[in-house]
Amino acid sequence: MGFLLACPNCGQRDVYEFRFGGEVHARPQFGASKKDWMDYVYRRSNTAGVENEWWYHRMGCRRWFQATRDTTNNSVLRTFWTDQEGSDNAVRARK
Amino acid sequence: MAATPTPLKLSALHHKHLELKAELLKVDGWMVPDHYPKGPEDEVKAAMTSLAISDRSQLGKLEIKGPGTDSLLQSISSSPGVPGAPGEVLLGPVLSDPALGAAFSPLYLCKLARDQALLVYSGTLPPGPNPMDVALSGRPVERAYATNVTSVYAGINLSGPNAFEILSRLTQVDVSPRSFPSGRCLQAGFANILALLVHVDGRYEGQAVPSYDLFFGREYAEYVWDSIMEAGDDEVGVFPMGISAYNRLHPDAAKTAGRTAGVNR
Amino acid sequence: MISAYEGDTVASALYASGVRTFSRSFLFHRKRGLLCVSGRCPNCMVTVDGVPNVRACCEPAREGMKVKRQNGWPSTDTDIFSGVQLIERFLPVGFYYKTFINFPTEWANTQPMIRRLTGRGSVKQELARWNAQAASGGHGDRFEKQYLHPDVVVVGGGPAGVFAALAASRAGASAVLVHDQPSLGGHLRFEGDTVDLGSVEGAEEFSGMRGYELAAKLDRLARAEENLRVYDNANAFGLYESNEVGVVQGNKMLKLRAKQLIISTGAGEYLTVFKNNDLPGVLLGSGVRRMLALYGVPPGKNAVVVTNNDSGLSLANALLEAGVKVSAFADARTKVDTSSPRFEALRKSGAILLTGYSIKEAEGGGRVTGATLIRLDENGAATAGTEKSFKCDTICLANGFEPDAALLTQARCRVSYDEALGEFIPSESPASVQTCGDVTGIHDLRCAFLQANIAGLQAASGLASATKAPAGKLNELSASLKSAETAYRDRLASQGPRPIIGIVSEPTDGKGRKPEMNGFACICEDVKEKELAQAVEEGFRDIEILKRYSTLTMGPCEGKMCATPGVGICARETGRSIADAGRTVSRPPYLPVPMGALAGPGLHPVKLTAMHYKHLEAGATLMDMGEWKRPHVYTSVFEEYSAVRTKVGIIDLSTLGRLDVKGRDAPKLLDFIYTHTMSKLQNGKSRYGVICDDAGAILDDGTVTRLGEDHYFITTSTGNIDFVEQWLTWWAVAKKWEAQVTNLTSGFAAVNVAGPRARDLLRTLTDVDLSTEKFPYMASGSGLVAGVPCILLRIGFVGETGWEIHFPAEYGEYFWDRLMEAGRPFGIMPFGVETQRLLRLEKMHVIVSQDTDALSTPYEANMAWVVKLDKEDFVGKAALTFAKDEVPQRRLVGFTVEGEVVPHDGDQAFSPDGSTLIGVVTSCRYSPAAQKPVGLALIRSDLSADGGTFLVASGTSKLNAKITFVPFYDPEGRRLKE
Repeated sequence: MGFLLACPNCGQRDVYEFRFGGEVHARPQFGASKKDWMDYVYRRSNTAGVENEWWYHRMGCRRWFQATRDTTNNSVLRTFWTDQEGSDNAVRARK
Repeated sequence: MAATPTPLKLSALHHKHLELKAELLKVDGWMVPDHYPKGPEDEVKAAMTSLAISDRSQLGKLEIKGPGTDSLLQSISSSPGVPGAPGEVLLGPVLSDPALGAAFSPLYLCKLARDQALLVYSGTLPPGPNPMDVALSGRPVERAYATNVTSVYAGINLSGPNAFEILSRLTQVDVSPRSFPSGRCLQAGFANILALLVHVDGRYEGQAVPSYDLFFGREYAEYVWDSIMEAGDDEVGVFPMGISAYNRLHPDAAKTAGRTAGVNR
Repeated sequence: MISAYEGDTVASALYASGVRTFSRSFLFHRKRGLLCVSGRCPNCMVTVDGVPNVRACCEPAREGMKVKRQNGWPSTDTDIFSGVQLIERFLPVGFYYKTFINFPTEWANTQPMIRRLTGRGSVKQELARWNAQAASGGHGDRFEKQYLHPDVVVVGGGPAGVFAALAASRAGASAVLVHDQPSLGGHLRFEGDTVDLGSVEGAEEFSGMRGYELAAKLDRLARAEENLRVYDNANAFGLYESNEVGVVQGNKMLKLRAKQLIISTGAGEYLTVFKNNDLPGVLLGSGVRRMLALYGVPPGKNAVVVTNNDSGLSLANALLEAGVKVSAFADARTKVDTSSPRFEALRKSGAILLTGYSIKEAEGGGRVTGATLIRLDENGAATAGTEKSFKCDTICLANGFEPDAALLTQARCRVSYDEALGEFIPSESPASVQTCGDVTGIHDLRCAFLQANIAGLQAASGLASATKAPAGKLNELSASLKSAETAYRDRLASQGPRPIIGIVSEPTDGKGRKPEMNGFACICEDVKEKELAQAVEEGFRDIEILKRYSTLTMGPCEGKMCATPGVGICARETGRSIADAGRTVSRPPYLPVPMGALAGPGLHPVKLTAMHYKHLEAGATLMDMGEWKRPHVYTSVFEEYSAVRTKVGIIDLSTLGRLDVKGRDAPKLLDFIYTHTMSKLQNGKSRYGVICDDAGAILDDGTVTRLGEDHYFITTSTGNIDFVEQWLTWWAVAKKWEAQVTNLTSGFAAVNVAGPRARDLLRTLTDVDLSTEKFPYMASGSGLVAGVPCILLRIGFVGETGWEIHFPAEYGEYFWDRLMEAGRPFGIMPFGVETQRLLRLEKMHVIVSQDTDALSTPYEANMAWVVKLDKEDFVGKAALTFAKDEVPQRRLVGFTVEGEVVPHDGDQAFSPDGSTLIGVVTSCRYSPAAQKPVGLALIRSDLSADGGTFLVASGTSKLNAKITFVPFYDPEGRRLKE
């Protein structure tokens, strides 16, 4: 596994520079049922396809961002800052 | 209580300099190597023909971070190009605000991210709030925070035509002159630790001297120095260089060195 | 003692001195000699200066080298284990499995013996420190790595590769060319004929010279080209995701990340399968050409040439020119034109020319003494009764090329069988990969030139930095290529069928007896043709399964000698066409690669504190804590302990994680991360804080000090700083809160000065008011200590009056010296991590991840007091709210043990009757205060009542432990607060 990931700040880098932060899931509100919390803490979608994920550039700018990636072939569709989704700062990853 | 002597500042590479029998002197309260046994002439020659390594830990570093970073920098500088885009390095005295005082001479400003910059300077800041905080206190610029990170980073400079050859043995990121020319900075893994690489060429006898500053966590200093020395070989020699030779290759840095509290020699 | 010329390889030098047997085969210990002379077969592997499995035909000869042949006992020349051949009938395909599947013990006993009998070189421990040697490709004493990012990477240094690299570079791309020879030019290096590139535009500068002259010119041009970097003796062993190429060059590994790849790896000859095809004296045609042209070593005195394509004739002429007699020339093609001048020369020399013929068997005991040729029918089957025998000492096989498409299959190119060409060739490839030259299956220099220029221009055209090639130029080249390729294919077709694809089907004798099929299909693993047929009969009909069962292609050559013949045999035996039989998949590494080259220089980061050399000076023994080096102990634990409890001690705490958190939402962020409330912390005060995850498990602990309205200073445990920094910044981003987190760990050195005389000592160095009224327990302050600006935290991890002092790291040695000097009248001693562990254990202070694990909640760790469930949502609130009303599964308890034996950290805890495992001892030491061993243990909560007992299994002892929740030293914590 040696694909490239485009950090929105630093550009195209080796995936090993990053830490994978997990699938993006909405956190339940306090007061939600135990089952909702268990799902949030322990269950994963494990999609064979396109998913949204968190990534951290640990050997670089040390920022958190999100990526949309196809898990079947590691092609990264886009990477973006979460506070500016859809803006100019959303980097279109080159294959 | 009796008057206390001035505390001595040692770089994390101090014992390397002792091992290599450097001639040490005090600059801005730091013990720094003036030259090594071969002497400054030989050190300049090594930098012009192969690669010279020198300790730059004594440089001041000021981090500015927060959503107001760009506004703050623009308000205290009249240089074109400020605040710059991530990856850019702005050279020379970029700050023009008189409120910052004359005792503070930036060498360059690295734009690290959209909301983060690192100012690298010669000399020591006087005790008390740092100039940025002073600049911030009187202005309506919000949400920009300055932190003095001088102690956090050790610094190593690599100067010479073989710089790229050695760098490419220790980092997986593209640092070729094409992709990483003078005036650029990037953060990446270097010898398996995180480092900030700043490419600012020097100049000697009309020729540009390829030159890279590396900043990384102070605790790794000896490890990084050793990794660089071991990456060299018979064809690509790496030679230690003191500030005497360094200042000849980087005349701008020489001008600003030794400011504040005078030069203690 | 053997002499060699500059430019000789170990193999050519040995061969020139008369050596013919280079090794013994893997299983049958048959004699093996030079075969491919290009690093593609297993026969010439020797041990050079202690390094095993060096391919002699690739290794340059050097002064003083010690070369040893590897297998065979008592020697390679007289190897008694060749007697294995006598029991060959008991060693059919899959015999390991068949013999031992029901007798696993016997296998365990037999395996070591089999290992000694088989195999090649051996690795000795001393190889860890090889002697440094000169010359690229030499085996020096260290491994290196290098990382490059050229626009274009060209793999293969033959004419196609060089043309392509020049085309790309001249169009403005930065290019790297890697190839496995000492100089460029590929097969042109041993080509004596004049080369003709035809009337293609741009080809004039390359035409009208001999092959080896063109090779030399290409070598010069490539090295003079500014944007092109050439790596000699470098093997591209694998192609990985996103165009990453792994290359090994001697002791160096290169990782090349390319935007565009050009694969011009050429084509290699493979072995023909016939009886005794593995005898020393059987060589591949291209191997013989190398020996003659590159090393000036004739393979023998009297040769038989067996071929099915044009290269055979060039080969025969080269032999004649070198003074080698050609007894017979067998060309399997029936329609080849034998009236040409070159055939005439051959005939004139006395060679017998046979068309429509191939080879049936080689004769000889340990080397070739003769060859039997046989005629083929139109289906390529041998015809009984047409045998012709010849005496000879060399058999040259020029029976077909296989494109070296391994890297292409790794790049996800399709490789399929082309019936007309008789080769497996690449067909489709991704946009970022180009091919050119012999690897495409077209063996024509004119086509190679055109393909290469198209590839180079196309590779460069995708790049921003390159000059755009005029659109017309590419079309022009493509048109020329199309007609040149058509001309090539037509010429090939006109020569008639070439029925042999690596195998000569043995004739049936008309009496219904099966052919013997004694020829070797796989010489690495000693797999004969008949074994493949046997395996098919047993049901292993698919080529992938057949490969795994028979081990065909699974030796050091990785299929270079046997993949195509193997497919041919499989197709014949299963009654399918070769295209249908398919092909095995080629995986990296393409050739054996030293593990050391993959590992590289072994860069293991080491972290040193600012006081590191002071510890060395004081005689400390160091320990590793992650990447940090820390003092374990200076003099003795008891001495250091006494100093802290009765006088004053100092410990280096520089390794603690430190974070600076600033920003409008900093209080909100910390309230959300910590289980305690931090927004209500007063300026100048510190608070112990615990971080949990949303499962309620403890992630880390530390202190939070408020320095201002929106400004906090946080400490974390030594190993967790990176994690906590990531945790804080992630939540700030996820919640869209404005808080800046700066990791200041590196910038501070820190010490803990602790003991009843700590205050007295510090008073001599600072004006800060350290009285308990002005500076109570858990307060913080700042000021100058010994002239150094410091942050002081009054915390009591070790249970005595003391201050944690954080200051800029560059003052480390100075500060330590001043403290030690000022502390002398008070009896100061430095203490190490081991003593600190004991001191805190006596106070029952928990160390996260020592006394807690990934599932421990604050309730289990007796820390309910840090959890403020009445504040707003924080990480873990829901889980802890659910947990609060439940009985925790486990509980952290303190305990004492009677007697001399001190349990170890990690010893297991059992129920009092010893029957049930109930938990584990997390920390245990002998306590001078309690005068007995004391510790902490995580055990089942139903057995954790105060005063209860449990058993500790420590080594062979079973010890009685008594539970207590009262600290073993100063239970009321009075000393701390003095």
